[in-house]
Amino acid sequence: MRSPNVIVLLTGLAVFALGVLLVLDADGTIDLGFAYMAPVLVGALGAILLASGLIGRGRGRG
Amino acid sequence: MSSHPAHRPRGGMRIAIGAGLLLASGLLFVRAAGPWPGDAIVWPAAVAALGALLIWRASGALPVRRRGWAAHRPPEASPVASSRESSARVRALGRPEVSRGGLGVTLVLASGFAFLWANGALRPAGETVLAGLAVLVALALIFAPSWRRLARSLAAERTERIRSQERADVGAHLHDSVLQTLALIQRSAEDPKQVAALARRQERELRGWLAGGDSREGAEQLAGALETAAVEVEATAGGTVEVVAVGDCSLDEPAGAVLGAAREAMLNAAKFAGQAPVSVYAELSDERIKVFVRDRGAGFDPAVVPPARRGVRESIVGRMHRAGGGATVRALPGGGTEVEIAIERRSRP
Repeated sequence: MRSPNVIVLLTGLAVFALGVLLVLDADGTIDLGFAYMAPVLVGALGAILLASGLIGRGRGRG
Repeated sequence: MSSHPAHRPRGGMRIAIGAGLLLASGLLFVRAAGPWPGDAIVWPAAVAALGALLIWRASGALPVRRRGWAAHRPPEASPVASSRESSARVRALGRPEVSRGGLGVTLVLASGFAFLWANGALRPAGETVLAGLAVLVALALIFAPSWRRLARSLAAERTERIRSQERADVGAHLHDSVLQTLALIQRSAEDPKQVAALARRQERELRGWLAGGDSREGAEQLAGALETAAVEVEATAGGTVEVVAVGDCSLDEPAGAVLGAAREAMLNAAKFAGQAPVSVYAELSDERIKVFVRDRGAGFDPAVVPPARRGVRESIVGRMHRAGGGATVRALPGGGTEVEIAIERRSRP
């Protein structure tokens, strides 16, 4: 069985969480202004890059 | 030529950018939700921290992890390996690359200026500072090409110096060893035994040199001492003694006993092995030493050796018993003899 691609999985989760936030914002449950949206986007991108770099390093070691 | 994975960390840039983005995300979140000291303080401080990190890393104050085979490489590499390493160093010297230290200094200076400017400290001397800055930038733009040329010529000179030093080292070694031996072989062309012995000694020395050691140096380790003993036995009794040593250990009292016993076994084997080479296999560690000396001679039964012959009984078996180890002599099937010498050593911390 193929092992899951962790980077793609993480990216999918980040996009899913972003979608949930946007739905909640559209629904009026939360007020998602640029001040909160910017750190969320930057943080998601940072987490994906960090995970990708760490996984690449782990593969390089093996 | 392939790149060097040991020197180029995989994913290092992605990790750095990812960590930076996470930090920026945290700062942005605190800016939106929590107590915020102000843009004029936090952003210059963040840029200064980044610059300081780059300076520290460039200065070697921060550890840089080596991975793969490079992490386990012994500090003393062989001449071939060190030659490869210096070739890589030479290639790296010729490659123009952005200086991390320079970038860090620039970031720290820029963040300092930004901090002072944003907090109004530069306003009283604003025009003077601006004029000084403009002059500095103009000078940098004017002299940057010549500085770059100077840096490149210095790097090229260093490259050439390293290369010529390597050539001189290899040339000196070839002269001291191979050329001298060839000259001796020409003089001794009438004596095949002498020619074979010279060629054998040179082969042994060249192999040792390629493997990273120098057989001419004093043998303070057991592996080197076994090699030296093999050379002496070849010179004394003729024939060929092949030594293969796995591991190494210091030449202390138990190792000295093993060396003495192994030398005697080699000498016996060389005397009675005829033209067949004598094989010495040694497993050396700080916990135990095992040496096997085998020959393909006529073989003999140790039980029928007369008491007056003390070579095997005293110099090998007795010596090892006195040292706390043991030695076994057995005839090999199909002819030949094997002497097994073993001793346990106290494990060292």
